[in-house]
Amino acid sequence: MSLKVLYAIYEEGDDLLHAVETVRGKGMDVVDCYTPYPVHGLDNVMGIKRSRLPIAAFCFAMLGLASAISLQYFTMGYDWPMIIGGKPYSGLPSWIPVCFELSILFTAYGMGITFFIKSRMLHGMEADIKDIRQTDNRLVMAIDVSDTDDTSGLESLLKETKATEIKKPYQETVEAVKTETPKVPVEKVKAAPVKKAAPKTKAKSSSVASKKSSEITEEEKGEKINLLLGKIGKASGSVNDDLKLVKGIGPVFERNLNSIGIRSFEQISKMDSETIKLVEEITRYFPGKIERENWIEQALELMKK
Amino acid sequence: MHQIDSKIRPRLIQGDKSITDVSNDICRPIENKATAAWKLGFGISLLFLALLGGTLFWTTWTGIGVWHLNNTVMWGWDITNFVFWVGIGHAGTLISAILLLFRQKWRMSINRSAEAMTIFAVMCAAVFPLFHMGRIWVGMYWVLPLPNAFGSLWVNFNSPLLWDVFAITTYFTVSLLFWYLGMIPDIATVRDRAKTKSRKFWYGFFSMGWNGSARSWHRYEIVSLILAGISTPLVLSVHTIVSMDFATSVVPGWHTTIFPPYFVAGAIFSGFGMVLTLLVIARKVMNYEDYITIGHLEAMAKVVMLTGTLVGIAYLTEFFIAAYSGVVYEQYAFINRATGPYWWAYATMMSCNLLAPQVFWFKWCRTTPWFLFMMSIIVNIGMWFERFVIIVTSLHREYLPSRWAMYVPSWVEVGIFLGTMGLFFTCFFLFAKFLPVINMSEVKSILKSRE
Repeated sequence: MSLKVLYAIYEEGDDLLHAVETVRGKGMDVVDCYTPYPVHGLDNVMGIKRSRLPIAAFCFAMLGLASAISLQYFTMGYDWPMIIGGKPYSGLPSWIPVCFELSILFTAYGMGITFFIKSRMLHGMEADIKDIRQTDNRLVMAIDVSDTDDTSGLESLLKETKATEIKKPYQETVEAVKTETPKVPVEKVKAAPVKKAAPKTKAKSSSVASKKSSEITEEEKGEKINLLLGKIGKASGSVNDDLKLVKGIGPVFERNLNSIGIRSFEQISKMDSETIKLVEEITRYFPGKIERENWIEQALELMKK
Repeated sequence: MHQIDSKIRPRLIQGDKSITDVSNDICRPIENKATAAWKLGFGISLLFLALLGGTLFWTTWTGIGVWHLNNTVMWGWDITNFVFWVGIGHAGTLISAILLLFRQKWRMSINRSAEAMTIFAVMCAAVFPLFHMGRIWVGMYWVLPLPNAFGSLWVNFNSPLLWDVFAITTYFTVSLLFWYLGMIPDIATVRDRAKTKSRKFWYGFFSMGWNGSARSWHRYEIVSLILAGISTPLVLSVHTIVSMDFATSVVPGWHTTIFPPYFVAGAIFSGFGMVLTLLVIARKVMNYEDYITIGHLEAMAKVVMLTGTLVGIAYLTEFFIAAYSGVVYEQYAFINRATGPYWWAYATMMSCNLLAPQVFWFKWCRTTPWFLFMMSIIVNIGMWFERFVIIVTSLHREYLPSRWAMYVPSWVEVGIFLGTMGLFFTCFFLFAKFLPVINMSEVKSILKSRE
């Protein structure tokens, strides 16, 4: 499969995560990312289908169990039956340890080998490296730009997502790019002819995209806000805390929060992982930032003052 | 991005490291020439390894009679050392598997070296059962279900000694896979930073073409999770089965149902003891104090205290049950342990394993490296004596007083034990020089988090 691929290079996992979301939100295809450490949530935003390795693991466990039972039955009960300690020839209970150990052994090695095959890994294989620092201190995003010739719009968009470098696109053979079912919103964006228009004029594309995203979530957004406020409570009319005192909330995000009815520290302090997720979905905010910066604890502190 | 430092929970990785710093710090020993301290330590370990070779050769050449075992005490230092090493081998997989399932992020700075320790300890352990068979060249037929020329007799699957063979080999191979799999991304890092040809080749060979693709990471994390899931019961099963070597016999002092949990707790206890011994030194010598922080040492000290207390409770329970059972042989076995000719071994065991770890109730004791090092040595000694007490004092005065005997090891047995120390440290020094001692890729993923 031949693709024209553009590489954007990042320094932080969170930036990459956000960038993948932005790029996919515009209907572009992220072929793959290359990172020196596992970036949590990257598989989700890239839309990677959950691997079926656990099923393989179960099959290997059963294979191990079957081999253990047949080995013990053959040697102890069939080939050379012997009475040991007055026990029956095929004493199942005393076979349990070996059955257990062999199941584990088969699972581990079966899984390992399946993993190596699926990831195309073998001893002495040449690594397919896009940027020599990708296993050390840089994160690389590969974007499919086969459909466009002019990538200047995309490039400035990437710059906005804190890409430190952009490698010019070039033709490349990419093996086995799986076409996963993109997430619903992406598909909707794709359906509209945004994809090709996007990189041309940056200003236009971004306004289109923001309009699109709000259009999509309009009804859902209302529902989600209701759900959210139901959980953390509504701020009474007079309350209007200065949310900017929470480290991590800037003036823009404060306006966002106010617009969905969050105006007090009390509300923030009542959040839990579920409501945080709602806030992230509604405001399209950096996933995980709220928990990482510990807004809840901060809000509790601020409430005391 | 903002970062708030909590006073209660300091960051796991100190010193404001960036991901570049992590690579630089952890690849340093690999990319630079060996230090004088490393050469000295490695040289001494090699001497002891030579001692192992010599004593094992002597045992095989002359026969097992060079050991001072006798008809009554037919297991002595050999099986004591076997159980001692297997026990040490339990911390590695415990740290990487059970702590992974519990999402304990502090494991990430220490899991690599603890797993390495596991593998080397199990190698040391394997020496003893192999050589205590005497004629090692036919040992293959005694331990593995192979068709043979002695009338097609098979191994006995009803015997815990055979379960042991399966448990230990499975444990060794699965731990090896777990360790290697976890190391592949880091080997790839070394490969891509490599300046010399040989380093490029060897690390390239073992990195299996890893390029950090998001799809590979996705599968990799699933495989790690499943391996952790199956390794957890595996760790517990291994020492359970080792304990059954004793518990399924009818020897007074061995024939108790408390053995499996008690052995598992003891194994974790001794394993963490050894991890502390190694890491307190390694963090200082290799300058990894920002990665293996006082917080890490403290967490390990807490595990040591908990498991030490569990082991202590098991000792007391054993004593109580012997008294309560009304079986005179059982009662005598325990009286003899505490007051018989080997009372000093029993006293060492009790004070090192039950009493000594109680100092960890005090914060100073948990957070002072030199003290922790001293304590870890005490734990190692105590756990060696536990196995000695269980094996030798139970055997030397069994049912028939006419069979009673004493046991003192020969120089060959002592030599083999010291030799396995040599094997262990030789492997560990090689590991510290040629492989990344800390899991770089995992540490990079937690630089920002404070748990």
